[in-house]
Amino acid sequence: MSSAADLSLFDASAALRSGAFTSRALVEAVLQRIKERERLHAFTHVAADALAQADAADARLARGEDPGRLCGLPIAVKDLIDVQGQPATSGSRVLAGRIAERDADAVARLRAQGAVLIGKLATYEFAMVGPDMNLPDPPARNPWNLAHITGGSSSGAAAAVAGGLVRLAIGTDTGGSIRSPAAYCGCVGLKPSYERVSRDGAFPLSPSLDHTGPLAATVAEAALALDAMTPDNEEWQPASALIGQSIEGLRIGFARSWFADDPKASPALIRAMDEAAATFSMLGARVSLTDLPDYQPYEAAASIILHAEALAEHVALIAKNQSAYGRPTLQCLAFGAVISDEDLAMARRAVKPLTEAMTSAMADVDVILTATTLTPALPFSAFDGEKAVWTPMRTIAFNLTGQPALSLPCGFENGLPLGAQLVAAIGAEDVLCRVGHAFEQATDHAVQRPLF
Amino acid sequence: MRDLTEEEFKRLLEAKGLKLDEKGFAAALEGARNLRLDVARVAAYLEHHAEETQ
Repeated sequence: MSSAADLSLFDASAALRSGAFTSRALVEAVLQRIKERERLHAFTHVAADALAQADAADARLARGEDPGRLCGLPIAVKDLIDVQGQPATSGSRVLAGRIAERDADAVARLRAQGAVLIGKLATYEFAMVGPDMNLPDPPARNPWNLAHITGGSSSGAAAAVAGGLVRLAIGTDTGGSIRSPAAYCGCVGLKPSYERVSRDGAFPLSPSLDHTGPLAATVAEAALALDAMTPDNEEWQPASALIGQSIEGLRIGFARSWFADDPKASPALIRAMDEAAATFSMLGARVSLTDLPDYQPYEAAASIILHAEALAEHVALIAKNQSAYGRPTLQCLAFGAVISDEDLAMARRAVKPLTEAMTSAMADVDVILTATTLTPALPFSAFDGEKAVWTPMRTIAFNLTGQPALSLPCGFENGLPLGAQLVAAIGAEDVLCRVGHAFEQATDHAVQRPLF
Repeated sequence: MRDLTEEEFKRLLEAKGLKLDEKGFAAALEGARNLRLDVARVAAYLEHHAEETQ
C-alpha cells in the first residue's frame, strides 16, 4: 500500500477509529494524490477548508462521537451539486463565480455524518453534452489513456475514482451520466431508484429523469454511500444489507440480444459480457437468456422528455446570458424547441406502458445483466467541439422506468475499460449490490488500476 | 413524417429566444430532426400498444 489514499473506505474508517491514523493524515494523502494527478483534470476545485473539516472529524471521533461510517473520509462532488461555500458553476461560464449558499440535500446528509467534502469535480456543461474543449474547465481525461474521454456527464467523478484520487464521488445520472463514465473509466457507478436520493440542490437537467448517486472504487463502497444519502425511513432497504451473501439460486436474466444484436457493439464487449454471464453461472446463479423490450421506444420517449424539460429549465438563463453557453450545449438545448406540449404529454403517456413492459419482461428474474456502453471510450479526436457526438449505451431506459442500475468493470479493450450493467426492481438496490459484489469478488476487474 | 424545414426550426428557436450562428444552426437542425423522428417513434409505439391492449 503506497498511500492512505488507496485504502478502502472501510479500512480507512477502521483505521480512524482505532487511532492508527487521523482524518487529517488521510486527507493530506488524498490532497497529495490530487496534486500528483492533476493532468486528469478531475477536480475543478479543492476545498480550502479540507484540513479543517478533517480536524473537526478527528475531534468528533476523539470525543467519542460516531456520526457515521463516513466520518473523516474524503468525498468529492460533481460540480452540478451544491456544496456550501464551494464553487457551483455546473461546468459553465453562465454560472461563473457562483458559490453555493447551502448544501444540496444529499451533501448535507454526508456532511452531517462527518464526511470531508474535499472538492468539486468536472462535469459536462449543465450535464448536457461533452466534452467541450472551449470551456474554462478543461475536460476530465480517462485515467487509462489520457487521449480518451471519460464519458459524462459525471466526468470528473469517474476520472477521480478510477484514477485513485478518491474512493468515492457523488454524481448525477439523467440518461446514464453516472453509469457510462463509470464504465468508460473502470469504476463502479450506481444509479439508485428514482427519488431514493434527493435531487434538491443539484442543477436540474430533466427532473423526471434526474437521479443522484455514487461512483466508487467498489460495490460495497457505493452501497455505503447510497445508504448514507438515503433518508432514514422504512421505505428503502439498505443497499448494503445483503453484501457478502451468496448469489446461489438467484435468477439472472442475461439480456444479451439487447446489446449484442446492435452492430455498434464491439466484439470485445460481447466477449466480456459472455464471460460475466459465465462467472455468475459459476457462482451458482441461475443464468438464463432474457429478451427485454425493444430499446428504441425507451430511448425516444426519454429523449423527448429530457430535451423538453432541459430547455424549460434554461429558458430564463438563455434570455439573460446566451453567449456564455458552450456551443454543443446550446445546440442540444435548441433541439427541445421542436417539442410541443402535446409531444411532451405523449412521451409522458408512454412511460407507464414502457415501465410495465420492462417489469413484465423481468418477472421471472431477480436481476438483469446487460451492457452499460457498447464500446470503450472514444478518443478526444472524435470530437470537434462544434457538434455533439453520441456514444452507444443501454442506460436511459432505466431513468425512464426509475429502476436501480449498477455499472461495474467487466474487462478491457485495447487497454480501455468495459462496463457491465445490472438492473433490479425499484427498491432492490440490496439485491443489485449483493450480485455486483459477488461478481467483483470472483474477478480481478475491481482491483486493476491504471499506472501513473 | 415530413422533415422539419429550416424556416420552421428558425421560428421555433426565435420563440424560445435562441439564436444560433450558421454552423450551430445546421448542427442543431440535424439533432432537432432526429428528435422529431423520436416523436414519431413514440406515437407509433403508443398506437401499437393501444391495438395490442384492445
